[in-house]
Amino acid sequence: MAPRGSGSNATGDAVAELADRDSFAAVVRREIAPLLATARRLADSEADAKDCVQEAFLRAYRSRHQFEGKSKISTWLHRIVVNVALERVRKKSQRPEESLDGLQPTFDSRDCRIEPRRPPPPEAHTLLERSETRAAVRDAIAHLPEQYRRVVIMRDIEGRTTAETAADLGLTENATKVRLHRARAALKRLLEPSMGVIRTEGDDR
Amino acid sequence: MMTCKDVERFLDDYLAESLPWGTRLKFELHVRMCRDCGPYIARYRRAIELGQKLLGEQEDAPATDAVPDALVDVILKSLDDD
Repeated sequence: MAPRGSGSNATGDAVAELADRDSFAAVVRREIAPLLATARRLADSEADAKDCVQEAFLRAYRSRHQFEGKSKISTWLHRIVVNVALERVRKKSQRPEESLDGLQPTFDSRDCRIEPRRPPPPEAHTLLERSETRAAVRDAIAHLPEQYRRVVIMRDIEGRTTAETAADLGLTENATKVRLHRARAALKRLLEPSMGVIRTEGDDR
Repeated sequence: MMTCKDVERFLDDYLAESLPWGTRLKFELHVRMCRDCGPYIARYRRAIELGQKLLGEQEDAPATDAVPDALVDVILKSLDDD
């Protein structure tokens, strides 16, 4: 068996791997375990995770001709399963997207930060041991307005550069940076309750 | 001397380690002296990490997890039915 995301993924080979049903079936077998692991982190149940993976592969199969081989197949499939999982979160909750305006940092007339005093947050891996925190992170990203969510996923989750993200979204690099910053600031605010906020006297200045 | 608002403006470039060294020094000097910016940045950074760890591709994920054959069969059937 070829190693995962192998490199077979030189562009032509990767595209060929998706060319027909039989070669796609081999991709399903090779990639399904890590994709299911991703779906399990994002889904509410095992059944939900499996549904996500099934839908992701179906979408990938339908859109396989659009895969240009610019990324590894594993990365392309990962993006699809994340998008499927976040879509399902939005559909289930029926909550509207967050408005980011009220979630931005504030400053006083001397440009000093107005920020409640808080203890240092625990490490991310410690925080993510709690299922409530995992759900909070997932829900916060799922409910970002689409134009912000796409930037966060491309920059922070997929690790693409500002230039790549800007080109893909048809934005200037500066607009991409502004969107990323607003989204990150909003996520910080939304996730604060999951970081062990302890309110003490004097926090309300 | 930078203000907290300046720090906010330069924050992503600082985290990406792309600030010119002179700006970085001013940035770090402010953060050392400001009682609000350090904790703010720690939480801002943690929010990014939480998203990355939960949603990111796990490069170190074991590639040897058992293949769930029943699910593979369901998926392949759905491809055939599509």
